[in-house]
Amino acid sequence: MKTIRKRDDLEHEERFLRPAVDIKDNGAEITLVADLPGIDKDSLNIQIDNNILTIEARSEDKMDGYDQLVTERAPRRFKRVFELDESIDQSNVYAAIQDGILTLRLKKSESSKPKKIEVKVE
Amino acid sequence: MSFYNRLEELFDIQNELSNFFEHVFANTDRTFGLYEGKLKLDADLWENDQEYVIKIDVPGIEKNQIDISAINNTLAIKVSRPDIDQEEKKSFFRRERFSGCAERHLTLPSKINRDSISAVCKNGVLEIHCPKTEEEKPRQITIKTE
Repeated sequence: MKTIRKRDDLEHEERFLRPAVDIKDNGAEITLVADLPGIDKDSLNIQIDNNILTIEARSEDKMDGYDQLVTERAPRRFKRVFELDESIDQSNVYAAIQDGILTLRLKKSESSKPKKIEVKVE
Repeated sequence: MSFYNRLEELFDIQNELSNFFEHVFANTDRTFGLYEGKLKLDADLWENDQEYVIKIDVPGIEKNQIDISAINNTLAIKVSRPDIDQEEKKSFFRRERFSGCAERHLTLPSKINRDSISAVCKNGVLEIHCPKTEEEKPRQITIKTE
């Protein structure tokens, strides 16, 4: 029987911002680019576990000695989860972050790369 | 096999709804300024006795594509991110990140010293420091004993 979560549990649950991503596939690899403003290498956590790719990042936006007048920017807690299929070589992943932009390159396994078939003229 | 199966997304629907409502209700005070464009230049404003600090998310935007100007105590911030060309567009099977221009005007609560405004861009966050004018800074009044 499924339990219905109580109101209190929901109050304490953390809210995450889903970063916007661009994803492209050029045949040999999949490139994922995400906007993560305010995030650097140390605040970023990327994991691949059992076909699940998790991109998580958090950063404190502390301004000591200042009073905050307006808050429009969401808190710096980003999370986005993807499911990878077999065509991706999960041990061959490149990740780099610069100026708040994360670039992930997921190489495709050899067998799933499009193979050009030679057409011979008889 | 469907093209989209390659990277299937899992998401927490509950989180999505919470995020959505939070965002809608948090932005009820719009007296801070007007904005336009596809990119929402959300800004945080801090102050202390000396200055105001504005922080705006500008991920991946080059310094030369940010334009900041000031009239009295109103700042105009223009930002642009170039759109990728048509050829490249075809290889994307998901595009969410914005491209294009956006502009935001922010009026600060009190007078600022325009000549000493400074801005720095770190990790995709634009931080603008606007020092207050002398008369706006709190002044200690000494009490003389007669």
